[in-house]
Amino acid sequence: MICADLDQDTGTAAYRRPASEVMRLERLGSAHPMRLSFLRILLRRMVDEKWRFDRPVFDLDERGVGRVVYRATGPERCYSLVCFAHDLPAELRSDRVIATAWDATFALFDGTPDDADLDRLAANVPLQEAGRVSCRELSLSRANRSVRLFDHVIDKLSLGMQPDIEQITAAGYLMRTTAVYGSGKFGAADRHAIAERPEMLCPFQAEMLSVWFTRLFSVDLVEHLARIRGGDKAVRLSTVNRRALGVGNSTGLGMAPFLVRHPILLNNWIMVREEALARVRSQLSASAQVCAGFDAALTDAIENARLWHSEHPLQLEKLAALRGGLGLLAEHVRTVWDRQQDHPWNALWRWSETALPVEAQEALVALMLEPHGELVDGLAQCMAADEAPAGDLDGSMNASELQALISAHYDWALRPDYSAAADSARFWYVSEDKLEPRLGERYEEPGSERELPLDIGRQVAALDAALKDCPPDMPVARLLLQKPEHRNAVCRVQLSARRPFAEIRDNLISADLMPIDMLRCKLAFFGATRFDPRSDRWVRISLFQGLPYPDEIGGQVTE
Amino acid sequence: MNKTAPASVADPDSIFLSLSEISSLTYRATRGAGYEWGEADEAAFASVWLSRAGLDWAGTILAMLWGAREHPPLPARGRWTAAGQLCPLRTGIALADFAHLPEGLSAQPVECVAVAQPLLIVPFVARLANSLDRPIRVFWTDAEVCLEPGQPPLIGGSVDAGKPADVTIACADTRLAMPMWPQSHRGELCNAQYGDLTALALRTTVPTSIRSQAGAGAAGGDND
Repeated sequence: MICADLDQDTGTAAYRRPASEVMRLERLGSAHPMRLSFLRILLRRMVDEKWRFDRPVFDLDERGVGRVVYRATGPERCYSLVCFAHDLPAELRSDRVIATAWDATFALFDGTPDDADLDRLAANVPLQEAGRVSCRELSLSRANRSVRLFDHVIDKLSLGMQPDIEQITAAGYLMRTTAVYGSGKFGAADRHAIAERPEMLCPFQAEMLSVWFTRLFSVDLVEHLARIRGGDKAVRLSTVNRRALGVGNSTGLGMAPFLVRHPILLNNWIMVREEALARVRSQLSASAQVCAGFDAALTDAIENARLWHSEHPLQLEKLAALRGGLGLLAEHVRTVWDRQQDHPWNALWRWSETALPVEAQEALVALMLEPHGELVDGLAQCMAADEAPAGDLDGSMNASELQALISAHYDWALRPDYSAAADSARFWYVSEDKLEPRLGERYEEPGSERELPLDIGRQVAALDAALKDCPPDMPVARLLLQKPEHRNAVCRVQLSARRPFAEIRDNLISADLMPIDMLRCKLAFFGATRFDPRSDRWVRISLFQGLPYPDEIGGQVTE
Repeated sequence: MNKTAPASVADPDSIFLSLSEISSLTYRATRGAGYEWGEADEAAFASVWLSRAGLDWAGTILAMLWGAREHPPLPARGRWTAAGQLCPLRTGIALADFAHLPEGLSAQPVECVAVAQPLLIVPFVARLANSLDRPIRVFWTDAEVCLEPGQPPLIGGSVDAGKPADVTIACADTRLAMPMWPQSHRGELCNAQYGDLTALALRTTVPTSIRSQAGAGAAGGDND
């Protein structure tokens, strides 16, 4: 299969969902992790290729301070997570990007670090943004303890007991990362430098590997501290308890602009998922084995929804919709859905479109993909993107052609009245002191003259207005010479002509924008579960929860 | 974009940035200097291209951003002029935009009169070589740059930023043996240049208000 063909008619076109439906923010904000999420892709590859794992360095003192190195060895290369464990006073513990100290800091090293590398990293990695890494590093990250659970687990293990499973499932993780930087940040290797490695082709594979090892580190750290405290009495975490622990992540608006700044990447992620769904829907029949896989996935999803905890009103509403919807789905699957009919998956999907809330429909996407690995897993290779074409503007296109593209793909952008306060209430900007993206209230806060160009709808509407004043045969090149302020919008419109999923089709400066919807979309592609908003722009999630550890897929983690 | 200069181990006055850092810094600095965001994207592309080619990206871009605001070109068949010196960014962008139009390079060679920082138009001509799938030569003063689609430049003479120059751009027929892109993709600049670019970039940021800081994090604490 050639990825470029995905936007053509590949026989599944009749089963594709339209971009006008898929790209609405409410639906993107109901996305669920699936087998084509990036962490699942990483784990599959490592299993398929029989990667091996070891822990060449484990040097922690009685307070749990020191360094640990984990190594993953694949067919051609190896990667090492270098971990620095610190003793952080409680008053310094903040998940915000503005923090300056953390319980642990990490760098993913390209290969096996020698002593000089480790010393260099020890002088820089604990400083995070204030330090500097090199092109030998693929990611830079940090994590804080989930204090209550961390202490509880050490207490229990040190006494020779297992921790309370309810406390484990309520928190879900021992540590949560508060930033994972990759792609050239703070001096690390550029994406460009590793993009052609097969194991790094799919997006965020280095970052996912780093987080997966961070999960293992969090378990090793509590077991180490329990041993120090309890001596011979101490026990290790049971397999069940260990599996129930993921690694948390705490994140805010910083990741939202990414989806807007990388339209080709967003298009490819969504296109792959939609093609995968269309392939499943186009299947003429459903084998007993595949149906059993679906049933098992549905059972897991219902259990996951039961354990999924949040106190935020927005999420409580969504969780109620999900639980109710999954209940309806289970009942329908058990009593009504005819698995022997032609195109049974399409029939199930068609039923869901009117019977289920959006939240449960999007859960069904993940459930339908789950037993169809052979059919859809190969699509993962199409999720990467060469983003260079974003700069290839066609200056010879004339004004009327451009306007036709706007009419065809940007009706959503022309609907709002951007002169009205409600439709232009917000503005995105970068804060001066911490250089982090934020969302301001345009009519209540200063700074909108320094707005980031994330107001795509408004930009396209302004371009549309400018085109109305142009002769229809005027080339775009000439318009941009006179009005360079429209360059960004022209690029987006031309780029979207062949990439239907490149734009979030909603007004990103509207008063009723829910920024967490953007976060959830991206996090679902990472593979995040237990999405738990702490405000309308700040969220905690869990990664790798319920999934295997290195010793479960690559033999024992050797010293 | 760090406000403090990243330290370099080898030369205390020399800083190495990743390509994504170069892109991000140039993007914000160009916007901070008053260009449109879409133009800032193009400047970022140019900085990265120059850096990969081992050329003076920081000096060239800073000369443009700190210098007087030059003029956009008036494209005409064969000869592009303006009321004063040509802005290299806008000229470079226009050369690529006009590629397939009668005023553009696909129709005839183009002479751009009095281009400030002429090196800055080279990345855009390289893009042009890609889109036309033809080798292109660029000449000014004693500089000659040969560009093959997708290849790094083959440079003769001195391409240092220097004075404004008349630049001739012409499609070439013969293909040349070209150098390879370097394995290492790091861009070098000095502390002063980093400081200047950062100062411009900070013009795109907004001072923190109590309200914005409060809204940016979780509603509760993190010691749970």
